[in-house]
Amino acid sequence: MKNFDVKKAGISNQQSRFKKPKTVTRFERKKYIKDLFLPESFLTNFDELNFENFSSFKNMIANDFIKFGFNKEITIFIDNENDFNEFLQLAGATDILSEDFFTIKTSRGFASIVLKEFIEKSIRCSIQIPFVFDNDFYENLSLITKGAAWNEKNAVEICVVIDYENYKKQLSYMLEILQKYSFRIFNVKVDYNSFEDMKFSEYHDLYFRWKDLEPWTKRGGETKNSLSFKQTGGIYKPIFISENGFISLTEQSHKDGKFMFDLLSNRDKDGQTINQLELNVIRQYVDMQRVYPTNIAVQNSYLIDYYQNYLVTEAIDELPLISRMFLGDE
Amino acid sequence: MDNLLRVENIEFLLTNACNMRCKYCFEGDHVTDKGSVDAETVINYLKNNGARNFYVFGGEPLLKLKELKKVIDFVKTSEDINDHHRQDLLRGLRKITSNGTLINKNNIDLIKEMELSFQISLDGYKEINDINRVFPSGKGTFDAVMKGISLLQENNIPWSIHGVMNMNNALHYLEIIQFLFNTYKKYKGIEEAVNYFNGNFSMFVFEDNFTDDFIDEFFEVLDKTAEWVLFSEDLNELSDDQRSTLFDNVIMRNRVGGVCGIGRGLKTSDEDYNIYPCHRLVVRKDTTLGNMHDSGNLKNVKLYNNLYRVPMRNIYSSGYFIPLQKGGKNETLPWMMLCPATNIETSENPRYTHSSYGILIHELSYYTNYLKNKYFETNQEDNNIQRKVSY
Repeated sequence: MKNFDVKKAGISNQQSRFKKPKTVTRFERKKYIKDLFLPESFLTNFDELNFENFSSFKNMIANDFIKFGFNKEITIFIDNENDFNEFLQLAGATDILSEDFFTIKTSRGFASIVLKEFIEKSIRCSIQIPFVFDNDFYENLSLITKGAAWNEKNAVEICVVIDYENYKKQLSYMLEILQKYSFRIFNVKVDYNSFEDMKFSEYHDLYFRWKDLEPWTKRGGETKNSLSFKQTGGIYKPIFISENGFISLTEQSHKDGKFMFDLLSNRDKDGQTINQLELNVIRQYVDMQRVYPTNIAVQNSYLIDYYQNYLVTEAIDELPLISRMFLGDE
Repeated sequence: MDNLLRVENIEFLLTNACNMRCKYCFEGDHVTDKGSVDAETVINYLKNNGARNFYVFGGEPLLKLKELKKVIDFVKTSEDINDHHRQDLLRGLRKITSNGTLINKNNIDLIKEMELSFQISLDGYKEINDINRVFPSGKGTFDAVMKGISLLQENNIPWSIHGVMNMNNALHYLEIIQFLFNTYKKYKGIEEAVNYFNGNFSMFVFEDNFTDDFIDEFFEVLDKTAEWVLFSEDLNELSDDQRSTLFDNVIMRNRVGGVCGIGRGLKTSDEDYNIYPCHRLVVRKDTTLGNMHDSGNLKNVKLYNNLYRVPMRNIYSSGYFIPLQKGGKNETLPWMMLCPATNIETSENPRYTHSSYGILIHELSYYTNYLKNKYFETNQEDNNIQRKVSY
């Protein structure tokens, strides 16, 4: 503008048929580019923070990336006594467990120790244990349940990964666990990519087995013996946080080196000074408000795995065909 | 041709070469004749394929004017093409996107004979145009382009001007509008000058890393532009309705996104009939769909599926262009264009824009409403806009 003759615009000598308004409210901007990345609050963009281990959790606290009380779900993988004791000390010295929703993800061998401690000290914290089918699993499950009555404060979530190879067993054993041990909360992940080569005849089989679970869920009747899936509405965005300060969509995307964002190295940057491609790749996840296709009603967005979306469709916001069935497409 | 991949909308690059070196050109250092397609290749394609719509692009197509004539002559005379299809093909072939500098007395008769129409790339007044649009020597191109436009006008050859804005020239938006208005007024009259802005008169290049300061400065310029449109004595010959129309065209029409042909299935072929999403991505061999004569071995189909899913009618929402809902206001977008190819490069997702561009669009939607409210009366009940200004 400075190099041009403003008079050329004809606005310096106005004799118009229009009159400018006398008072005008000043325009206030709503969003700023610099705010596209604010290190101290960036993690608040996600609904669930999954920490690779206790060190990654401490690392984020030490670098002020976590502000407690922001009503998020925080899941930490802990499977040794040192880390567990340190966690208990932190929980005892602060109010973090009452401010946010904590879950300890642990190995099944360590689960009984965690559960026992939580029950004895009335600690408000959930436990996730992985679900793998073998005889040891039932032994562990017996140990966990021995003397540990069901306690609403201490929800034990059974983590189930369903894939093409195991779906018949997984879906069947979920009901068996419900009936034999009264464990009813299942944290289900689906390896949608594994179904890519499935035959249509197998699809019918899968469809039947998945729909056959429905009468056992809350929707089929609310009882303590109902199968309960972790439920969320809207677009639910979890994030995986590694020990070295990287965030990525899931643990698998971290292993594959995809959708990686180096939170630690960018702690002194903002939305204008950060590498723009690096920011855009993660912002497409932060900014996502809907998934394609838009014509299906997603009943439980917790079952959406955005990295699996990418693996199958090459876009995190595009649902694979098979996932539409799991999500409630009729 | 059992194994032929039939493509509804196809474009060929008659040449990748260009006699200019625009600073924002996506070709960058790739401006060579490599990858260009000769007339024989295009004619062979037309003989064997039933594409409904067909286009040529560059580079600078006038560098291959005689090649283009061969193609047009073939289409005009071929018995293999029915008359209806012939008209569709000729319509596409005769629309030329050109920098205008190669239009001269030596070729104007040929251009006229070929019945070409021109979309001339020009950014504004000499001082503005020559910021980005230069010859390889660095010399500005404005004078040469204007000579070309004059020649087209003298010979009654249809032309229009389309510019490009980026961070280097967008703060001259007022002058760009003034230039375009005055040029159209001079050659085509007042009415056409007003209506011209209803179309795609200038497009933002959005791989730029926009800044907050730029947005603030751009908004000041928009307000000055609004003042010029509504109050300037330069425009006293306009009726009040024409001023309002001009205001809507140059200030308001940026809230609903348009999408280029790539979202409607347009594809580009190179000289070996390898298919790419668009001319911009021909240099990205990793984006090829495969060869048109080998439909059994398609590659990157997931990318192409995602391109098909780019909504044609869309609105902007937090970085994404999402489908316009049924009943939504159907506005096209003159200068806030969704370019899926750019998105692939800036975010690796064809539906997600550069996030700083997203902020620009987001704020523009509020700011243009602010300007509307500043100068016009808004009836809250029926949401009709009435003039606040008096006559």
